[in-house]
Amino acid sequence: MSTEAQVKPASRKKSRLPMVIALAVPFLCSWRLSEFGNTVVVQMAIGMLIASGLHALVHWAGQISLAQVALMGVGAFVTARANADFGVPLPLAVVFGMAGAVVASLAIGIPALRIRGLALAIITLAFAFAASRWLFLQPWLVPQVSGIPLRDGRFFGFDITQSRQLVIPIGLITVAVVAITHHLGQSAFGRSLRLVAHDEEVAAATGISVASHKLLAFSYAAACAGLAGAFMVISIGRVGPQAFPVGKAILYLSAVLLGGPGPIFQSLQAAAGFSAFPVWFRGLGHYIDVIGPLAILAVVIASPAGLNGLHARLHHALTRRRHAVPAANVSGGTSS
Amino acid sequence: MTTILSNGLVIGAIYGLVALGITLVYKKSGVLNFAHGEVGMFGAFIFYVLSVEQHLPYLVAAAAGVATSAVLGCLTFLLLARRRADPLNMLIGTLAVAGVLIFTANEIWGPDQFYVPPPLADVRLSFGGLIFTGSRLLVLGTGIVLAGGFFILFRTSRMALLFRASASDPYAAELMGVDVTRLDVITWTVAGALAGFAAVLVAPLVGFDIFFMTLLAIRGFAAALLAGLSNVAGALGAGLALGLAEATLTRQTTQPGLPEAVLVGLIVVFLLRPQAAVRRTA
Repeated sequence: MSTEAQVKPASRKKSRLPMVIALAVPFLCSWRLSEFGNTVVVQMAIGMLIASGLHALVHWAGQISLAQVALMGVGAFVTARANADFGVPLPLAVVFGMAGAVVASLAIGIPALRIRGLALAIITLAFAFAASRWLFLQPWLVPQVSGIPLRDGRFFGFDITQSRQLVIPIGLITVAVVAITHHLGQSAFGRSLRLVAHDEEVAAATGISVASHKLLAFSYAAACAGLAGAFMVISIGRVGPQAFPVGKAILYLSAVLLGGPGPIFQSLQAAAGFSAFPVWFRGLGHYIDVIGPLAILAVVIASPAGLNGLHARLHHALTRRRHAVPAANVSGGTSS
Repeated sequence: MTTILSNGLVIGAIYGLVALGITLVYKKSGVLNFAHGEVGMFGAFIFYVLSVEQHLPYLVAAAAGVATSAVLGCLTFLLLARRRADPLNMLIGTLAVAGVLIFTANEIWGPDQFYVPPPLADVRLSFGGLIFTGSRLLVLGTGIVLAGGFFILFRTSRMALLFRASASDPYAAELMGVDVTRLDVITWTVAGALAGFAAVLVAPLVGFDIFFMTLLAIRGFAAALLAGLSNVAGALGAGLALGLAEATLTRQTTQPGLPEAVLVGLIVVFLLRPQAAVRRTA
């Protein structure tokens, strides 16, 4: 029994290692990549940031949100305005952007105290539409429809006009956020969140504040989205309302749902893929728009457990083959 | 005021029709069909092609449009049927189907606006001071007739009894000999047809493009949610209320995007009285 208990976590760690390496490789190799390659890596980082918060919100807190891209927009515009119009240094403006997204998230976080599941999906979708068609057209938030150009040209001393340089601070912050999120999932707070998602009454009976846990989950996801938005405006230099369509929110939610409720890494993989693919394969033109939905359909139909399930099946198939080969050799040897 | 009221009723009837389809699918399968609007949009374009380009009679073109939407609704379910036990997987699946339908429509018809001549254009009727053109009256009448029909159907028919039984406990219903899959297919087909009805009715009233039903579907979702996602007649009522609120606000200001801000108002409603929907949803 004790041996089994010792073996299981070790095997889990072993199975996660390739995923962690796969996620880290683009950042570690960024100095070898071209300017365009680094642009792709920055987009992957932005996708991973959104997925980090959304994974915690969806799989740990049990809340569905289609408003993350709208919150990303709030983060982007607050960052841009703080820097461009009020002269706030870029690193501090990013913090303001995150705070703006957290404040905006309360508009959906507070109803979420009473609503959950699919009903919450509708409310957050309504919020996303209201943001893209009304909030982002308000002159007090976005004075120019063409976008707000940043004042500063450097972020922590790195030139923001060069992806090759920008990838360093963005990559490091993304790795830190992913590590914090992963740690959060393992912590007592993460377990409390899961209990709240599983059974609110039991959670309340054990002394957990259901409301504050839900709001904290929304705030954390919003802070991640705000950070992603801030990085988006920094990487592009100027960003307008059209950069935050509702369809993107659907894509990120799909990525996280496809990632499944297990470790965060599959969600990150899917989000990084969805973010990088349109940039990397822009030569495909508008056909790029249908590849995402078709990929989602393929995974939904082929694997009910999402990417986790696909990984498990792939691992199972490979292991079976590995075990089958010696057996075949043995039988071959006897026959000859 | 009368203009606001008549506009609100017509818009609200459309929202109600969309909400009716969403409610039916949710009630039977426990799934939010995010492809509902796009299924209707495809029907509207078939209606346009047959009516404007092929010069077929209005009724024939409309029937073909509604039938197309019904078939697409059915196909959506059949495509995702293996995952019906998992509403989240179904939800993502419907989002993906919506993306594929939007892409396909964009490939065939492009992003331009299309126009269909309104039916019964020379008819004008007045009810209690409210003046309706023929096409608007058609929308209102169809909405009320369909909602009334479904209300009576759900109270009286054996099919509705089987529907409720399989929605309540599919496993027990299956043990009792109810063909749950067949009922699912019928429900998704009927919901698709309702989306088609809404699209075909609204298309002549406005210039439409490949996204027009997506925006209508969001209002439909809001109306369905206000009605608790399980109240068939209430869905139409909530749609009408939403339409009236939107018409009033739109009339009073020309600020762009204000109708969408009404949706934010709904969020406030849920802040104040979330239990109106939630308890019935649970």
